[in-house]
Amino acid sequence: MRHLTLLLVSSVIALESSYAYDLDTHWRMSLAATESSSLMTSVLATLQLDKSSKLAVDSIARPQINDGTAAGWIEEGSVVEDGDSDCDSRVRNHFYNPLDNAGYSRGAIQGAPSVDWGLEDPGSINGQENSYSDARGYFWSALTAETDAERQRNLALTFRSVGQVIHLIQDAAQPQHTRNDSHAGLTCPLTLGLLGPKSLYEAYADGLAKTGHLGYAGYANVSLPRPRDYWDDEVGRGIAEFSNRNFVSAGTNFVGPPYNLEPAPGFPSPNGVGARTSTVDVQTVMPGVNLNGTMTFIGTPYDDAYTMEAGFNPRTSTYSVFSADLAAHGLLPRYALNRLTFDAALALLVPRAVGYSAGLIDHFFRGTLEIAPPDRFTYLVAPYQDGNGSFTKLKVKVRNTTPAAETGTGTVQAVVRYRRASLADPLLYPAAAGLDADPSYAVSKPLENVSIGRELQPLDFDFSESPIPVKVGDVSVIVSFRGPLLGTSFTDNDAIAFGAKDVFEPQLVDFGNSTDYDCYQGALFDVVGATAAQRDINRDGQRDLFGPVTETGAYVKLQPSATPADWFAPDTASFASPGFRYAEFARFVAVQDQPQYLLMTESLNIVDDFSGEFSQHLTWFTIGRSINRLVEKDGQLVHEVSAYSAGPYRGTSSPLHTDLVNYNVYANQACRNGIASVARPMHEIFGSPVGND
Amino acid sequence: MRLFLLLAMMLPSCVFAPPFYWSEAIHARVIDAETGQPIEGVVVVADWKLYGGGIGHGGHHRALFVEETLTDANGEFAFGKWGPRRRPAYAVLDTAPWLLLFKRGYQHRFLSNAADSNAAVRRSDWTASTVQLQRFVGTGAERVDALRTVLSLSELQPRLLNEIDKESEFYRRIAPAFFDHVRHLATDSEVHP
Repeated sequence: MRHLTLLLVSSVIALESSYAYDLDTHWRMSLAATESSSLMTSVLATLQLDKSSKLAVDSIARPQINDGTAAGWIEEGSVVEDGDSDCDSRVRNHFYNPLDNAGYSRGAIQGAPSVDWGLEDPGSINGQENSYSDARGYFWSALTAETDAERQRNLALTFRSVGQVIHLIQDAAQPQHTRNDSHAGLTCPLTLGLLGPKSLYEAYADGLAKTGHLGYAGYANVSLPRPRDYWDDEVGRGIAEFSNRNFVSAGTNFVGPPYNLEPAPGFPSPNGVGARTSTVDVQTVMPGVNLNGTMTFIGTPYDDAYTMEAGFNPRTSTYSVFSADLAAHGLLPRYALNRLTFDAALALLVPRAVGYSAGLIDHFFRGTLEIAPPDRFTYLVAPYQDGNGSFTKLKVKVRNTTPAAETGTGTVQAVVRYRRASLADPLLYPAAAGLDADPSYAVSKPLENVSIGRELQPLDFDFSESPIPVKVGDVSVIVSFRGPLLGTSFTDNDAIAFGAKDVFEPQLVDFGNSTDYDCYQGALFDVVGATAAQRDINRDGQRDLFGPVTETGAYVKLQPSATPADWFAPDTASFASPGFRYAEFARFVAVQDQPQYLLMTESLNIVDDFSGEFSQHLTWFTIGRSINRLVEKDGQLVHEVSAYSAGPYRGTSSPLHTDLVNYNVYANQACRNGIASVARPMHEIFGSPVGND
Repeated sequence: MRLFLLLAMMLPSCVFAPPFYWSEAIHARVIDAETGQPIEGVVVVADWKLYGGGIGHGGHHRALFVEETLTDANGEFAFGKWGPRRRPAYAVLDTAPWLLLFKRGYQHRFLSNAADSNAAVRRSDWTASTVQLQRFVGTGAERVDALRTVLSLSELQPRLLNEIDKESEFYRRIAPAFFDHVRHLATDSEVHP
């Protein structure tokens, strides 16, 4: 039996070592974590990306696993954290012993604790450029980038760095990494083999990953207050604590006799408390092998302080191949690990590695803001003068929607994303605009010392140094906060919360005064300078033609279509003109977020040039939104358009034109149609947005 | 004497790793697992993957040499012998060569040697063997997942990329970014056999 046991275990070990731990275990765990995290749903949508969106593809280092998507970059990060060279020194920072908060230590060779290396929250570490802290910096740079290339590069770095951090979480779910158990392999000449043999546990896991037999599911995404808690917290919920206290490793296995098991020196758990041995027939655990005999396993209880569940691992360790010989000579047995103990450990550890990784991804992107329209309804309003214009002020309302965390005082910055048009003016001919594939970005001046509460609060952003052209399509607004997030039991002093709003496209509105023509029996008459006799067309002594009139102050207000039209105070208008004489008009461009809205024009001081009669005027129309954007469908950019196109009006061209006209013109269809092509051209005067100061 | 013994045990695969590697020729046959018929056009990638040990732990980072070929009408494939190739300073071949077998519609096979070896002359455990491929049965999502794995298992090789790309006809809607990426890699002039 003794020889048989030796043969069996040797066979097991030889088979296991046919694999080696490299990319695939981390890649596969990260793939599973990414897919179960919020990244694939809400985060990408807020960033106006989808699962197919590609980022900085020219910078991809591992094209075998990284297709340039957000998930691809996280997966690449989880692989490249082990370094690019064959003897990369950064891996010495991949160990963390939660019992003494120490990193790798082997004689004079020391490594930073992986939690410090991964988070850099006590401070920057030389050689580390892809920590959680670095990721946050990259993310802020992406959110406030002024070019698409810069945004893509920083988003890619963000995702890659997050991937590198979750690599460390996954390592912390490997007992050798939390029990200071070296497993470098014997290939680095400088180490003279002092850094431990190749890890059979990792090799076995990697073999399963390569052949699709490693299980990743079964543990829900973890949610803990602080990033550090994912490794180690005060109550044992960290993944490093779980793997450290519930598992042995090749170099930190049990010692002592089977009837009085003792823990490995320096690692008080697992120990003999609650341990049970079980002897199984080889054919039971490895059916079909050409061997007979038994194997003895040591099982121990385990506890999960995060789920508050306890269980029993029946195969924590085994008697080694030497145990029988040692016992025969009255010596203490030795204990070993094999593929069956690895299977038991992997079933408990890999789903947790995935759940903790997914949880940390969720934690990184947990800060959220909601963006709503301002009181004035329009986000952006700008004059359109001589065929040009730009938005310099963004008005929004914002509130913090981060789960279980309030913002402290920090920096808030807004970005407006849009696409330029290369073929035609998108305000006039949206379907022919030819939107650029690469979006452009305008970045506001930062607002300092701002906190964002749970109720919507107005914020005004100054884009005077980075104005947004009005002749654009595919507009969206992004607002980002960087500063403290305060939980009930913790403070994250440097966090990011962000939100986005896909608003509709800029719409050009012309409004003016066309009272220089009046209508009589379906015919238009120029009334400028007309005498009383000329106004009495049928010679009945009654005036048949009216106008023109002069407006002192003319206003347009956009508001939700559900709000009843009514007279409004001029200082609540969207846009104001100093007034119009006949054949004068003004133009503005506005951005809002409703499918339909009400456009009201108001003149409070109207005087008839001929009679001196005074009047006031209010009118309104329901206007449909403008859609003119590129949408990714199946990896392709598709142009989606639903918007008004321009038509001629008295020498001008605009998709929306509302003019004050004489009543007879308004009442007669032929005159209403005809006034657009009367001889006298409209003259543009300049107005201004209200409330942009 | 005890010290000498200790050092002698530690050094072999470190200092005494061979400075050069050679490879014996590899040949095998691929058949359909159900019909027993040879499969023509199976892409076979041979990857002499290096293991590099860092401070604390190690892993496979890159290949010493990679090549690919196709099975012929009899389902047979072969790689010629090569060598010598200099061993990089901080890496060794352990279970190499690795063989990856893939054909559209079939489950892939990943075949490495059964045990670590420090030998200077490398041979595949699978040479002169008959390898069975099974038809893939599963959902589109499972197939895409399997294709991701195939792509990950070796250095980029044009024939392998083209064979994966053929499946975009059926599965592109599930993972457009992945298939775009594969096509980009397949047409990338930087990729050479």
